[in-house]
Amino acid sequence: MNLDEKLIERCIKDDQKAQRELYGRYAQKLMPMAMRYAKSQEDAEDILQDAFIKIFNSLDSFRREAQFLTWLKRIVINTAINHNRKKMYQQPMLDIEKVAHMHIESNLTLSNMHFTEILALMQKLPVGSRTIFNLFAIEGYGHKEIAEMLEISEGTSKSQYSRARALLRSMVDEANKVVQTNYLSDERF
Amino acid sequence: MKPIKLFKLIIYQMSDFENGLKEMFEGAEFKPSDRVWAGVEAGLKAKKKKGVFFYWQTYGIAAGIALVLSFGFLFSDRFNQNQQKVTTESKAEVENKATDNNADNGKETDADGILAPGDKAPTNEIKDQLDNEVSSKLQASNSSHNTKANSIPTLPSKKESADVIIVEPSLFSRNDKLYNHAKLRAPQRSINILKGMWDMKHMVASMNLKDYNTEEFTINEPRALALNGGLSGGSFNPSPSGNSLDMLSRQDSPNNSGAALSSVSNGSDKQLGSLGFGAGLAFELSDRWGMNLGLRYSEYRFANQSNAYSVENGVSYPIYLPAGYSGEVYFTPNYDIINTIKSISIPIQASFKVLDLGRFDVQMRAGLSADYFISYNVKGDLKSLEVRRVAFSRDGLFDRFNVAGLSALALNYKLSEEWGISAEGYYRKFLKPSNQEVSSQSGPSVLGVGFSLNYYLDRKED
Repeated sequence: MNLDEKLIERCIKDDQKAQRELYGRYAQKLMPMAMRYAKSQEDAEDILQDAFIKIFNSLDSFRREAQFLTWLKRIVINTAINHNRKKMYQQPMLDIEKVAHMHIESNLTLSNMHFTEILALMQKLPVGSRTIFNLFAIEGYGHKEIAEMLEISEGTSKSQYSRARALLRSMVDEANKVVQTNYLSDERF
Repeated sequence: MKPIKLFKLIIYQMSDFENGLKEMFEGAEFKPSDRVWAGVEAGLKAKKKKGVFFYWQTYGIAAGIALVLSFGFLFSDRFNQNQQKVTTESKAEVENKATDNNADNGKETDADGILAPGDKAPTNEIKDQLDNEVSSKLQASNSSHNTKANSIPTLPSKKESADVIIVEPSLFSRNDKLYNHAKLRAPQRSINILKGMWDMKHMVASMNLKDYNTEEFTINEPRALALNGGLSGGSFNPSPSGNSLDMLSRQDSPNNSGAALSSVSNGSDKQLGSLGFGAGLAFELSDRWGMNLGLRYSEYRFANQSNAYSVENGVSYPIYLPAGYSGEVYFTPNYDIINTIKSISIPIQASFKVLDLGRFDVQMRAGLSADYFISYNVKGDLKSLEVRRVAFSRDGLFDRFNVAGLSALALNYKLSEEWGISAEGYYRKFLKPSNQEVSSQSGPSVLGVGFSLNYYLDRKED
């Protein structure tokens, strides 16, 4: 029995110390994931809090053959989807016309950016598009699965993904330009 | 070719973008604020409180399963009432009544042949008739029972006994008023005891009472019929060792006015203990309060003695007075009887932790249990006796369904997070049914100890 398994066993028995330990071990790893789906850090913390309550209440259903971190991430994703679901229907998705004229640079680079900067850009995406983009581009779900998860059509998932991607790239490009401009101006002086 | 190359380039760039994002978030960590854990903690506590009643199956504080083994003793006021008091009546009275009845052709008797008090005294002619009757009966009795002397005879079948019994089947109702008067039925003399008296009177018989085959001494109503002319109010209670000389010594003066009547009797109940086992669920509702629910099987045993058995539909059964009996009654030397009561109960108790010493804690428990008595058997220590299966009724010794009050003091010890053991001293008091007419009787009670092995499905860490 490895450390995680022992910790899980103790958490199942409502050992509060173990719960605190498990939280401490995984909360920092799961927080960036919650932030990708949220519109703000506060929003992400709400998602993370709900996710951990679900985790502790359903630990006894965790199958030991699965990767524990993968199981945790799935709960965070589901919690985030539920958290965003209501907002997704309230907020409009990305307008194709708005995205069509965006100039996409071919030499965009992510290596100059910190993930928090990308997160900040992602949080600017409308909630529906942001959710779909995360599920497809980072979590690796197919559009069919996403359509089922979000109760939308597959076409909507595809189109919203394309628009979210284009918009994010545009924002990344803009951010790079700013960085380059700052770099050049620093060099000039 | 150009468009294809361009497309490939775009695809590459797209994958590069997503891969870049994936790599960026892989291994990324960000510390959430402290309010997240506070919220998680509060959320878990709220869930537990809710769980007491609505989510008890997954309730997190401490749900446990207990396997229980208990030992105890059953006490009952009703048992003590079987201390059958000897109904005394002078030999003269017996003979008077007997001869009155014997000579009863058209005399005033009730429908059962019971003589009303104040019947006329017997005449000498009737007494002579009685002697003649006894003499004739003795011949038949001696010829059929000589071989059985000095041994416990086989129990008579109903048909056999019909040849020697001269009493009518009892139609007595179980009414204490009737018992007190000890009314005698018309031909209610036992052949055997009268045989003994006749032999002694004429000094022709053995001095061993067993020759008179007293176990075939038949009566119909044990409390009412006093068949023996014993002395000093002693009951007719020959011991298994055959100390019938005592009996005979009382007979050497047939005209002794101190002659007494005796009847079926049992001694004092001797507790053999009770054994119970079962399983239960326990819930800790808070740090101190809890609730226990269980299912238990119990077997209560107590011993006694009897000096008679009854033959009912050709089958012989031991007699334990509080349990009731019917049919024809035969006296015999004392033999042991064992009463066994089996029951299933569902106890529900609230518990309060009065002392918590870490691994040890002490709980006070109180509650109720619904009891269903499966069977009540009376077993006699004679080979030929069948086990008497006592019917439960509101008029009988026990009701089939009972409610008992429970109280216990338990000491619990935690062996590990999952396992624990408990020992408890408990007291159970069966509640008297509201329609129980005998107000002086209280319900039986059980005092005992129980041991349980507990498995905790879930336990709160202190």
